[in-house]
Amino acid sequence: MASQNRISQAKIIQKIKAVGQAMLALGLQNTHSGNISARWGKDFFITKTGSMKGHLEDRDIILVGTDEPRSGLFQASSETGTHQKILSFSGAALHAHSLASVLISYRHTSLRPLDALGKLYLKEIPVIEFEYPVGSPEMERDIPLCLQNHPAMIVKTHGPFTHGPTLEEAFFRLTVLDYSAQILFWLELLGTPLEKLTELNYPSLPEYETPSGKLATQDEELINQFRRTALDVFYLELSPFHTGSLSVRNGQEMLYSPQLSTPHGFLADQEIKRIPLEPKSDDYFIQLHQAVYRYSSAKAAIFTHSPWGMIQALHQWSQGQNRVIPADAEGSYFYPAIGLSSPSTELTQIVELATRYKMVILPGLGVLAIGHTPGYVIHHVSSLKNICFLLTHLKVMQRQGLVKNMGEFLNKKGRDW
Amino acid sequence: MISGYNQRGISVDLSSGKIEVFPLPEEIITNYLGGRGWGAWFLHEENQALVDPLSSESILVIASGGLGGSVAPTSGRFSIIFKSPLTGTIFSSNSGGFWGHIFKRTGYDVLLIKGRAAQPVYLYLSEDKIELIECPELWGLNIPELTQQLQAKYSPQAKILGIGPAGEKQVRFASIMNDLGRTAGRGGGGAVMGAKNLKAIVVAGRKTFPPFQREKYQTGLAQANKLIRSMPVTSKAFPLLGTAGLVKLVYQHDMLVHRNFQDTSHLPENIEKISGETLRRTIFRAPRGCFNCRIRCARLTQVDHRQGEGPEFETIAMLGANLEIYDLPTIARANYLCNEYGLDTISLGNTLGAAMELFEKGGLSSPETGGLELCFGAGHLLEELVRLIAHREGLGHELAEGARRLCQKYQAPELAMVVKGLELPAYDPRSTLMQALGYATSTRGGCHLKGGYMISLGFFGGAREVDRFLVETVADHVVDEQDSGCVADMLGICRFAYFAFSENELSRIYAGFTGVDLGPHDLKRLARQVIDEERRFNLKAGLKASTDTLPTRFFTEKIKIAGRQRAIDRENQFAYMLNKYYEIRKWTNDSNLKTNKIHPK
Repeated sequence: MASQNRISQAKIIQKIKAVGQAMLALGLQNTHSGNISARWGKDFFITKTGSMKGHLEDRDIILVGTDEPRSGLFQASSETGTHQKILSFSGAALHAHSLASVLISYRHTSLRPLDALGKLYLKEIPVIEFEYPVGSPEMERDIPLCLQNHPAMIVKTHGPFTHGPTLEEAFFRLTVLDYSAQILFWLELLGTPLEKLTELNYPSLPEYETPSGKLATQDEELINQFRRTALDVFYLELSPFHTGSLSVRNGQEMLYSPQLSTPHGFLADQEIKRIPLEPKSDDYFIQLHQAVYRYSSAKAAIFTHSPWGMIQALHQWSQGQNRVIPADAEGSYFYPAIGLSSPSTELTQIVELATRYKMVILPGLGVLAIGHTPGYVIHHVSSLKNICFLLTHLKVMQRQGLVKNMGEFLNKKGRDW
Repeated sequence: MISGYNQRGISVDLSSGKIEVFPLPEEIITNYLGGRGWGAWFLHEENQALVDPLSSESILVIASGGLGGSVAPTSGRFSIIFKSPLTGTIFSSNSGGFWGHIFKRTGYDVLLIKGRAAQPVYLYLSEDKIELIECPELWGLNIPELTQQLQAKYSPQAKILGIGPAGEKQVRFASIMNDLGRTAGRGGGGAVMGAKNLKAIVVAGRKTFPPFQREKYQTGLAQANKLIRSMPVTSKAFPLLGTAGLVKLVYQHDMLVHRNFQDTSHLPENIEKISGETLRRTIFRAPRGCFNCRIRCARLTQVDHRQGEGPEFETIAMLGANLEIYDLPTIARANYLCNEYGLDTISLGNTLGAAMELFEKGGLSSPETGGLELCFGAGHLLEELVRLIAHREGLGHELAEGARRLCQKYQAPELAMVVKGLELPAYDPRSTLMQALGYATSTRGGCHLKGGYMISLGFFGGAREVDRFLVETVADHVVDEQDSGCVADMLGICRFAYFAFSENELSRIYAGFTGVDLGPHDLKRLARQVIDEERRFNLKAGLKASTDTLPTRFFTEKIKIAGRQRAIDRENQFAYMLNKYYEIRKWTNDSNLKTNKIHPK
């Protein structure tokens, strides 16, 4: 909360606009729904009721008091009361209409993520049912109470609320929540035996930190490469906001960008670090990138949490498979098969599989792609999205009887590649 | 059989003392619904267009809303309709409080007051008694004194509507007060009552109205109440800040009037002094609400040892910002006096603004003001000016005629910020073109409410928000909002409830309550007919289409709004919007309505 108070009014308004655009880009709301708030000193900013979140202007972001009412209430969102109470203990709050979360709320009383991000950063997300699930006094009472003990919650049939010390962390939690909900929803739709996934052990991951914007290089070409990649990762939904990582080798060090997935409006915060390949870092993701350069000749590596990759990988893993075999022409052409490896596998083996298949999927954790340049490696993870999207839908089509046997579409070379 | 209505009215002829109960035809109920709708119909039926409003030939219609007697949110409003002594137009003025609800429960839907009593009288009305009582002893009393005396005579539960000294003296913008602080404020209804020697109307009723279809009625109510509870405007902004909360917002949109509409420029620190937030921190004591209203926008305030209602936004703007008096206690004290004397604070502030501009420009001199230095910022004069006007003493006699007549007398008609003679309220039309068109076309003259309350669409309309400087499509929005306002006035619903719900919920509640199944579109269609009827009345009264305009200042004097110097372009903006407006209403710009049918249905 303290850090949120230090930033200027102009900066906070700019960030709210950027979150609005980003939420719209991810389809986390329709053109007008949802709301965004951030504490500013004793007061808070909130988006105006009915404003178009993808096109917020200064006049759409209004100042409301946390202790004393202010005239901004005339324009405030219908969930203002809820935000006001959340912001008494937090720095920022978001309400979105994440469709995957709503779908989960129809049949679960809480969302228990299967993926590593959700398990670590959200744990268990309560679903609460309200008689009047839009702007009601009951919501205003119960949602803040719930969020005092949880980073996020879902209003049944309506959508999630998340909060955090900063707008970035609240948005990070929202995108992770949507990601976890998508994975669970699709696995259930595919008929995946979820109990078989409980044995997956995930490594310890670093705590969320808002990136500092520090750049350990002045090379504008490289910075632009990193920024382009960060934008593509975000807008192609290859990884939730501020997740994923990108590196390029530079002799016995690497230039490394954590919290890669970044939309417009946040690029100035993107960080590029200069990290030696030795000694081994405590940070799992840095270790992974270090391992790529220690155990392969790759010049670039990317790690993303790929929702479609996770859906397909977890499904295949539950069936005892150790690879994903594409069913589309483009995917089959580049990747006869893509290796799967337990998330707890030794890094050397992970890098070996990545070398063999260009990328390796760690079910529930993410996908590592390696190659020559940032452009080359993001091509792999963006292709994986398409491959896994098609496989997942093909499976549903098969379950509905729309295709007889999806096996006939799988790349034949992939079985023993 | 229609439920929810008494299906009868009372006609009281004050000249003869004759009281008649008459049936209210089903056709009139279902075509005009109540309130403002019935007013338009009765004034047409009684050929009121050409009468002198202050003569014994004029009539005053007091009508409950179509949802009067129900428990629909904010449904206690009632309308008073008359030919205005201020504007010469038909004038529908409505009020909240509890009087309207109790009036309906006396067993009558509508009251027609005709003639003129020889002596001051008041009317007592209950389920089993209708009585005209002479009351010379009440003449001269202010509203709290009048209320106290009548409630002491009848019961503390009796509801009192009446006029203060301003109505008795036929101040052209005297209001009719009820429940102490509620008011049918605009247009000079108080003067009409005063001219009739009618001091008050006391009601005591307990009749109840079972709904026609309980389930439909209750689901409609539940939805409307849910929306009121969930929308910040109705659940937080108005309850916590009152309408005064709008001061900052209107200022931030460069719309808050200043120095008789010369500009909208105020120092932020001055706005802070009169804001709703400051009111809440300083003089606020408790919220007050009308019948069955969760919004509770009214404020009980205290200054020194005096308590009273207000000031509302319009009062702060017109007696404060407009006159450069940035002092809440001064404004509140003047407001208390207006409530006691029965004066419309909007017309008062506007007229004083005109007088101050006249004075500063030399059109009014010190001898003519009785030695008063009538400058902007003269807060120390405010209470005295209210007293003078209410009693028509000295300069007050001229000010009591309103801004148009005042400026005409001093040969500066361009300084009167009026439309059709009605003093404009707190929103400068250069800041929202929709509001400009609304003022120009409202059937009662320069009114923000009957004009469509377009500022709500201009900057707190949520997803319905319309750009303030848009010209194309604006006329459609204005017509639509005016029609919605008329639906609210016909059903007796507060305009503020429309921030939460709309005709969708109202049509369900109304159908459940009465059994008359009108969809949202039907309600608007009927409202449009009523507005046509009002237009027809005005044309018959001699008004021309040329009165559908604004004071010249708004076309010629540019002021800084939203970062640019702006005035309204008369040819390219205003004329275009107006012609579109006529086209939509099927009015012609040579003053005629294309349709002359009274009951188009």
